[in-house]
Amino acid sequence: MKRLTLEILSILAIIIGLILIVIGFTRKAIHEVSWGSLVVGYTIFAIMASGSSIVNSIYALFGYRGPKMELVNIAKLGVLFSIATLISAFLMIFAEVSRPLDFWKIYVYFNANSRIAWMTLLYTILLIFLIVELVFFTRVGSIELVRPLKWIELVIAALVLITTILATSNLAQIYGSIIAIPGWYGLLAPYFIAIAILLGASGQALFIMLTLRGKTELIQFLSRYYGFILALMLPILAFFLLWNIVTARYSIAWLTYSEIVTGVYSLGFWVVVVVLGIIAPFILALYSFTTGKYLPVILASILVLITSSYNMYLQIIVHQLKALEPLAGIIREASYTITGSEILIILGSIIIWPALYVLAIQLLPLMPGEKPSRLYIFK
Amino acid sequence: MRLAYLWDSTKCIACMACVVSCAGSNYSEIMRFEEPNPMRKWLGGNIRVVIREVGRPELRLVSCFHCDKPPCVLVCPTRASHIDRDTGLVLLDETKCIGCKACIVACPYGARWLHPTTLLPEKCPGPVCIDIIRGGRKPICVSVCPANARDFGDIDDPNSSISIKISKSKSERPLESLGTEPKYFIVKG
Repeated sequence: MKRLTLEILSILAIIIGLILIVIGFTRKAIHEVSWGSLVVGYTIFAIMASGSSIVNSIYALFGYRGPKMELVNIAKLGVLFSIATLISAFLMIFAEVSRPLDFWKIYVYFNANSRIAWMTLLYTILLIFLIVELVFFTRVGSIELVRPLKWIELVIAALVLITTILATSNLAQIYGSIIAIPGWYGLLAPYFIAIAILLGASGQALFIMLTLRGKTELIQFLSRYYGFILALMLPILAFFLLWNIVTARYSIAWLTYSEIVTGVYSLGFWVVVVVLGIIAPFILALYSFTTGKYLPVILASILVLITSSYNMYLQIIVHQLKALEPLAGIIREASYTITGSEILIILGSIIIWPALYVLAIQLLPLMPGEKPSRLYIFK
Repeated sequence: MRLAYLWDSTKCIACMACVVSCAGSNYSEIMRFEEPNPMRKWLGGNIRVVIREVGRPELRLVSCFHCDKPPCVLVCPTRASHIDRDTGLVLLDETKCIGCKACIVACPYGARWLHPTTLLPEKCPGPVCIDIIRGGRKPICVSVCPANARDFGDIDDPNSSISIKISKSKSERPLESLGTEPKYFIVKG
């Protein structure tokens, strides 16, 4: 497809996505549950951006380039994926709050005790660092760098990784520090970081491998590379998940964990989260890692993206459905159904996500070997 | 000054005058609605009724308990939820609120709810009661109670009616184990 056609299509998709978000926002209604699907969507996208940044650091900070500089070639695309994902996350959370135009008040009236205030600050800083990193990679052209530039690259990469870890851990503890919801309990920070890396690697596998289709040798390496990351992280995620369930069993958190593990959500949990979300993608990822075939890791990535979203839905919404009343023996119960306005906002953000990625690739020299020719950063 | 609420469960006749007067006075605009507020199961208002019907029937009237260590104030990113220095009450500055709903999620008592038209959190004291309290009078739920089961006043003043009632009776505070130190005393005997 011609470059101009892709530019026009991606701009159209961004406009359609924004229109859907605005329509959804104007039709918002009250739920029994305060944090609904938009908070779930935001959390998934925010930690996916974080996870993608962690995956990027394998080359950018720790210096692994691949046998034929494959990771050097995809470095800019990895950073771009993080930026596009983080912007989509911001769109969802802007539409979630009642007064999105007042978001600046978080910086002006900053409450240092509030993890939400820190989350806003950390993710804003992360976005700025990622943009700086992308501009830096674009300017220097992702080639073997001369010594002073390499030093700057390492500093930027270190700042990105530190901010990412802080932002993800802080995001996890937004839930972990709320005593009103008994189910938000357990090893949430490492659990979120494990999901983040999985989502980041899966998202990159899908976006980058589709972008680079036709480059057989590079795709074969990336199949092994992302297959390895998924096969490594899935057992770690399973361990944290098991840990949370076991510790919840002997606490008040079992009030809602029981609904997920043995109650009405148990079929979804065991089939979607455990079988389709951990066991199946582990086998597929391992197969790609050993053979270098791209189709299994693409399928594993799709499975991880869908099932992790469902898992996050269970972790965020189901735990809000029951809480203790200030009267012994009485439980406060709520119900939740996703509304049309939430679907519109999520759909709009998901449409904008790849559109931003495609538009940036058309405008900026981000493909392997491309260098800037206009205004230092444009093609 | 630390203003607090008291509810005498031995005097309460469960007439719901406090519940209705709170909603009618503070949120009269909601009383015209036909659909119940999903967060309140009825039109709206700052007092929620919790009843245990199994065994010996028991009742709790749940509203903001104005905790000394309020989780809603801790989580608020803009300091819209704050402890008022003059009264010790937990208040909400709507000009700073962005509507993130963190305070609603964080309150272990389920005391906050979302206004159906502004989509901003509401809590006790409502807008009318805030003016009444600033005028030195007791909030509507206290003044309408026919059984004199409710009280409101300064617990730092040993001569206030609420301090005398607390000292002369057996009372408890809701979900004390959470460490939020609510300024709401339930007289049990």
